[in-house]
Amino acid sequence: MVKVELKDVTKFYGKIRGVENIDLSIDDGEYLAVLGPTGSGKTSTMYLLAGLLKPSSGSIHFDQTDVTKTPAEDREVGFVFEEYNLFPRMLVEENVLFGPVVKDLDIPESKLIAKELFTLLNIAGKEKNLPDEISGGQKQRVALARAIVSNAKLLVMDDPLRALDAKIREILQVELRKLVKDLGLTCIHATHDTHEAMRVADRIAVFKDGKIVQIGSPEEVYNHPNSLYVADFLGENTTIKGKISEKKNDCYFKTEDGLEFKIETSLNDGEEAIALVPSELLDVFDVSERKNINYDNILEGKVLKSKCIGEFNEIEIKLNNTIFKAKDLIGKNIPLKKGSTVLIATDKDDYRIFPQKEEIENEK
Amino acid sequence: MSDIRFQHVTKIFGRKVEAVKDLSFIINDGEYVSLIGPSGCGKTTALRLLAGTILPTKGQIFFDDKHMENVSIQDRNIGFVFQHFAIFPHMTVWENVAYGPTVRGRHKKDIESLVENALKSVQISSKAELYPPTLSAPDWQKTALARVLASEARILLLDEPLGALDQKIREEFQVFLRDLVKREKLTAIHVTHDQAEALTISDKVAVMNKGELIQLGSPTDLIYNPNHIFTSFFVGESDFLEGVVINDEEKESEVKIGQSIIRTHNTGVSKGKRVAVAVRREFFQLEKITKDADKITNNYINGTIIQDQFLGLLRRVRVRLENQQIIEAKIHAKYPIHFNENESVKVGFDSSLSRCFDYPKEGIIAALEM
Amino acid sequence: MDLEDKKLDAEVKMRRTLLAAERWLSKKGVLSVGKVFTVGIFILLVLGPILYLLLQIIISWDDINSTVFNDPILGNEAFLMMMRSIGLSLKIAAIVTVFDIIVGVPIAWILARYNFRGKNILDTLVDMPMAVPTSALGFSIYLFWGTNNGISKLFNSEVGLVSQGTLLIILAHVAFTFPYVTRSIKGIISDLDLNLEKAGRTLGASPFTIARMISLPLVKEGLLAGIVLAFTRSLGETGATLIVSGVYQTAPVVIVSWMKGLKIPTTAFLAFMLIIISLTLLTLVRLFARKVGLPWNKVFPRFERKLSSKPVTRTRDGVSLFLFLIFVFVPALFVIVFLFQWWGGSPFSGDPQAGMIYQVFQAPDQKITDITNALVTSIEIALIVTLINVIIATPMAFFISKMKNKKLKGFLDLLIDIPLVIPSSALGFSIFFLWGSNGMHILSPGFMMIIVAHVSFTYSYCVRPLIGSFDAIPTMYDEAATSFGASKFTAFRKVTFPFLKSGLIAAAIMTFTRSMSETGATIICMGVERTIPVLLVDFFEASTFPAAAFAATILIVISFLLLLLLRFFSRRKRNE
Repeated sequence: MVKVELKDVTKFYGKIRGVENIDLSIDDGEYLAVLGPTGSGKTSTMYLLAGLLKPSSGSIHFDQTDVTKTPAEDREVGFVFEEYNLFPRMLVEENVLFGPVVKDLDIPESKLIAKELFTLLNIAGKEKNLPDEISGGQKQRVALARAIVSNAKLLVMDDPLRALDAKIREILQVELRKLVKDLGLTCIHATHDTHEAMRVADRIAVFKDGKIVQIGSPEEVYNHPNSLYVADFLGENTTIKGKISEKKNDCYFKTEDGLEFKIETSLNDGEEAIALVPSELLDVFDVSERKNINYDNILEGKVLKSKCIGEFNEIEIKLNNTIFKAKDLIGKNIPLKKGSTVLIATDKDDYRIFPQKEEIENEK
Repeated sequence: MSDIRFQHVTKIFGRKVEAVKDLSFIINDGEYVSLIGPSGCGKTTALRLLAGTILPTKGQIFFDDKHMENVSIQDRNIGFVFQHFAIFPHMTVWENVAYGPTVRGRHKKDIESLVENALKSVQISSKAELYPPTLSAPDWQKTALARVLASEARILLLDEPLGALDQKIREEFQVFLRDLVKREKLTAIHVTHDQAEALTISDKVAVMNKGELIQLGSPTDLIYNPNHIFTSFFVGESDFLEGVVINDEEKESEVKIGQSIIRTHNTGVSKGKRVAVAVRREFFQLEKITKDADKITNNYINGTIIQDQFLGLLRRVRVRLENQQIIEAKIHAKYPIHFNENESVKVGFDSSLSRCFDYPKEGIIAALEM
Repeated sequence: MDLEDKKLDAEVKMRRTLLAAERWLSKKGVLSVGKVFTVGIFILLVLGPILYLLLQIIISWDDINSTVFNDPILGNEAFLMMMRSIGLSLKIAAIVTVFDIIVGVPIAWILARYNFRGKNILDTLVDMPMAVPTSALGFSIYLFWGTNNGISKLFNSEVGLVSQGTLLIILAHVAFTFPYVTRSIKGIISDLDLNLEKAGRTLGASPFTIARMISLPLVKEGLLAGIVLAFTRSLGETGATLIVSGVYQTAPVVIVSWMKGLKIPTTAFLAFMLIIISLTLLTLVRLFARKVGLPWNKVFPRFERKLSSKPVTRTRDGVSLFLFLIFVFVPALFVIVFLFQWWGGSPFSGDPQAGMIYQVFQAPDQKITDITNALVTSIEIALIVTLINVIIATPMAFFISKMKNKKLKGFLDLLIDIPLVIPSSALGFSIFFLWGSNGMHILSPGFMMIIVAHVSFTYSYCVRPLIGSFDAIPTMYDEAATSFGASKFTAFRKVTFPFLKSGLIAAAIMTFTRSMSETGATIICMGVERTIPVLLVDFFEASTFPAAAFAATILIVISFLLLLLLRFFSRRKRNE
């Protein structure tokens, strides 16, 4: 119910950088995921939005109002923490009503809202429990209800699912998005997990070292990463080094061990490059299928490892000296045999090509 | 050498908290077994029962047909590896590893050769003289493993051994750990909350819930042949279609779901029963309804698309079936067809890949929600 | 080569013997005997005297009845006097506790939450009154407030600002009891999860509202424990009170003076009453601390926001620091200033015979010999007491820390605290009563009896931190140790003990410090030997203030050094 804008926001802790020159605009009712590794400035950004930190420079606006100097208690931001932070000596119900009580809101009305939220979040009946008596997933649902009941216009979540088991995380991702969209809230959700970001958000902002490196819809960011860093962070890739070589009108990527792939790139002939191919885009076929398939690149390799790890079969295939990792959704067929010869099939637009100098930058 | 057998083992904490209920299973010598389940399912309790740090309230535990009731921890020939390593910070790596044989009163020469071999086996010999606080987490865990090897344990008990490591290192360590166990011919029991880890590392996986053993089987067994609704739910992701059995033949049953009739693998559920048909989300096949004849399968229900979500590694398509139930299909990232909101589709699946379970009395959500 | 092998064999043999011995000691039966023995010693040394006193009160009720209530000459005058003194003590303790909270809580908050230069120094200074003998402290405070050497100089007054009596007692007691309040909550406040407060703020609560509704309930139990300690310490304090009370007699002072007059039955009854009051308080707080609700759930957002504003919080911090300086810090160390004023002679008349040098080193009574002797006695006693207590307290702490039965654990925990809360003069009296000529007749007042008394009352100071140390060692180490085949004793020696070193040293220093500074029990249990805090009281009573100041300064310096040592080891313990 609010449009959020960060204008050139910088936060330093002494000499340590939290975030630097963040420009970010979140539309009313938009669900934005802030994605990045530990130390990339996600938490700083969340705290700045909530008013738990003051920026060293720059300003923050909710709708047209400058809230840079507004303290946390007056911002009407619902905050959900990684570790729930439920008040330990209060009942679940008292926790949820804490906001309305300290803000002197209409308590009976808040109780009604809380009751509805509890039903929506599958935690009805837990009102009289202490936080210690409910599971982690339920705690985070309570924390979510608590943040919303306090009259929040903006929901800010700092890696809210990190402490939970994979199973419950998966369930809550769906619940979270549904709730936020049903209530029409503006929401900013920090996470270190690409899958989670893509699952919940309308747009993703990728952070690196306190700066935003790319922002866009999940599909844009994933399919068209603007840097090696983004490609590396978002996807599970096979990384290969080589050189660009142009023949006629086609572009090829040549590795030292003699592999050659047709690719698409804006890099020039002879330039040293890195190619990334996401593991789900590597298609693997039995040798007998060669005639039935139509790809830009079809090469033969040997299966090093093949294992079912739940939703995917994970396959490692060796071509010359390069090991390719493929991930294939499980299906009717039981995974391939170790040691067998298979075909690896890719199209030219499956490769993400970056100049090698980016790798050196990344390692800094 | 060391078969492990649980016979009707129950452990009750306090007056009535049943941490483990009537647990019976056999782990063969040299097997790598993982225990998985939601928190509080009793997996850690089972591990502690094996270690002997707690004793069963009822039932017996045998190692090679030897009853363990009066065998104390130090005489069980087990090695415990902890999530937070439990490396003694005031001893060097070498002293840590030597701890087991030293307190067992081994001869000094034996101790030396045991320690050297153990250190070599986990590739940490070069750091033998260092103190743990100067090392990194992976080295601590290596030290812990060497310590277990040097104590000549035959059974390795691992309590979330990789839980405190970063994701990348964790994946490397999974391979390392399995290789080590196989090379040293140990029996390993590994508790983890990470099912991908369990499926990657183990010969067999035991799924536990509410103190009970649900299923013990190979990773592929758990995926392709779940024999309990909880396995379907907990390992990977499945949707559960509610229906009533209207026909049961030898191999397949027919289940009426809403207005449609679908076929499913017969798991011994009898005619007239209310059932939940479990289908893995990867096994759903989607097809736009066109005038053409059925292409993919003739085993389907009609539905309308809610959302076709791009997730990089895969796509997830949410569909509202004609009985108003919502399911989610996982489809290949490269699948050429895209679905639009409100589009009508057929949701099909291979009958042999579905499983049919009694419908839980308290409802699916209540029965399976954690 | 052969020789080397033999050496190795010998080493293995020795290790095996040790392991076998430890294995034997780890047997269930042996361990149970050990536990019984540990608890037995605790009961005999620490609880025995108190129980004996209670028993004797019942057995010789007739005797007490006739002396306390129906004395042929005085009637129930003795009882009335008891009631008066207890009433005075309770009144003082209550006022003191209120002041302690006003000064102690904000300082705890400042120490736990703010980072500023000199924080460490302030932290040490706050602890100091706990380590310095109360008689030295009382004397210093008396000099500051009650004589014309101290504060009155500011007002150009010829006499002291505050004369001996209730007000001076309160001033003295606040100085050494408020650290109990500060100490008991400082740790808890700095351990509070800051994220809870952040959560509260994002929900719209002002810092004051958060402190009241979220932090306070979490600190509550610690605060109540600190309040009980402060209250009972004030109720039972002897050393400083002897100096600052003048004609006003608090209950512990009455015990000492009746003891000097050998009025055994009346003393016994008064000691009994004091013990009962302290125990009741301790038990009540232990039982109900968790249940005490903070009923005030109504919030006044605007008002509380004002209370949270910078000017208000700054004023609060400033005022509490000012109170600390003016009521604790300056008076407590004033004795050093006094010593230098009176170094070579009286600052008023210039008379060298009134100066410290003459009184201590040159006067015919050779006070320096007394001081040296007393110092040696004090150190001897403290060393022996520390040794004994470390030996008997370590197994007890281990036992309590590992205990699984929660109710029994809670009960033992309560018993451990008893010596902490009962007035030391009452404790001293009950020890005299049990071991001396009126009871078992094993000891007569003197060196040995002081040791028994000190062991008894420093026991808690030794056990308490050790329990904490044991609790802080993660159980996984113990499990790891035993899973590799170590018996319980071996595991203790090789794994637990190394973790404990710093904790043990810290506990030992604490015990040593307490023993060095005790007055009340010592006065009752001593023979001709003096410990240095008692000698200080003697000097004071003989009005040789500069000599007393000399002794007090020595005590303050020693305690200060011990305190620094203690902090060093506690910090090391935390880092481990």
